[in-house]
Amino acid sequence: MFALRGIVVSSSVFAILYCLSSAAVCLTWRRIARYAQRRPVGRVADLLFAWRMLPVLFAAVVTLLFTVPSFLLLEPRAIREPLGLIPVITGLAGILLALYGAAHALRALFLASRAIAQWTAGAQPMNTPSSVPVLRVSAAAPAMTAAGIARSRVLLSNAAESVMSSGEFRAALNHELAHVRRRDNLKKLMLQFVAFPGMRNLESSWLQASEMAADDAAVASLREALDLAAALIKASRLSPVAAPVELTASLVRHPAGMMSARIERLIAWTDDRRPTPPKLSRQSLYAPAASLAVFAVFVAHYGQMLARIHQATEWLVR
Amino acid sequence: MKPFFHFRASSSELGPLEERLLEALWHRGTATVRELVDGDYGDLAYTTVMTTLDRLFKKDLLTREAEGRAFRYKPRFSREELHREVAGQAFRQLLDASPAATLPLSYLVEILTQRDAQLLDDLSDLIEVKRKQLRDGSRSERPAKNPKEDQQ
Repeated sequence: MFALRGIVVSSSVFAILYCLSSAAVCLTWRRIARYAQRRPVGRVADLLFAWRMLPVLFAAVVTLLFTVPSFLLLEPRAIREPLGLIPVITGLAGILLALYGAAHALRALFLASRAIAQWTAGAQPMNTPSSVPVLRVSAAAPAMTAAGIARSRVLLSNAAESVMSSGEFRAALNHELAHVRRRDNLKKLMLQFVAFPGMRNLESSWLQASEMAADDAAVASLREALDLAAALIKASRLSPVAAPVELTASLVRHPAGMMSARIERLIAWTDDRRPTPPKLSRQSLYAPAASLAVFAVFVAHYGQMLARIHQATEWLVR
Repeated sequence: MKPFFHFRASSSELGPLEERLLEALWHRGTATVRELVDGDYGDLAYTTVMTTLDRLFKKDLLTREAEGRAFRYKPRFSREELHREVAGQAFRQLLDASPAATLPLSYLVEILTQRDAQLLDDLSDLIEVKRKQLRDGSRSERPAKNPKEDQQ
């Protein structure tokens, strides 16, 4: 009974915090995106992804660092306290959310694995200088795709290879390699775990920003930008208008509006978009000291915080 | 479900003058006839602007409130809302008129595909223009370099 009550209380706290913070993220992400608009698009993509993951991180941290320890340390084991209807419902909702997320992610993994297996049947490795394997695949596959999470590879269809010039192929390959370096397929899998209604627009904005970030990372001059734009157009003409396979990063993503925005952006390429190595700002030098101070305050007040959290969960259970 | 809009005419039925004044009101937010005539629409007679705004009001595209002896007009809908509704009305009419519901959708897909192809053609042309400019630029830089090299 003690263990069951602990699970229900923890799951209930997780569900409440997750739903409230997800609603807050839904309401605020556009402001965050507007604030980040003048920054490099890679940073925008990172910020949007972090904002999207914030609810699950926040709910998990509070549950694991506070709710579970406060219950284990401060709840009398012998007590036979009945659980109210609300914590049972919210606790079940938390468990269902976790199960739904896991099922959603597993389904996406299964569909992606099946599609990649179909595309790579009879694939031939290509001789390229990249550290990620590049495979030549059948014409049924998308023009060019970065596939795989743990074992990444880039797939290039025969049809795409035949229409692209060497410069266009290099630019398109660099785009896919940028997706691999940014671990975009892993991020897509994480998004599947935290599926929540009302997040579609935020996720599609992140997707668009991550495509543009990969475009920026792939080119270092106007000539390369034009090569990538031309590769996108050629790949668009080859690709069928079909739903993209989850957990893969295809060079071409419909709808056409998104593609034309990317192509127009590449055509208008300027030197200030050239990727620069990250600089150490003054704030980032203070960050370790600030983190240490926060950690010290956290340790000093941890007992008090556990007591407060326990009071709150007691109120929730009743 | 109750429709969001009740205007009696779609913007596709608007005359050029009506469209022009509606654009002006979208741009300014609100205006009286006098403000429009004294502003960018001095080429139009006061009565012409007054009659046209009154017609737009009767088509439910504008709201108005009395201001002294005149009216202050304001667009009832944003440009995006109006376009969405006009497109929605057109699609609904098309779907209602066709015996097979999927047929108009196939026309729509066909039009979108043609439009996408056209868009890609236009962008492709733009890339070729840029590439040519880049080639011409590097070619024009080359003769400037050579005399220097010769001097050296």
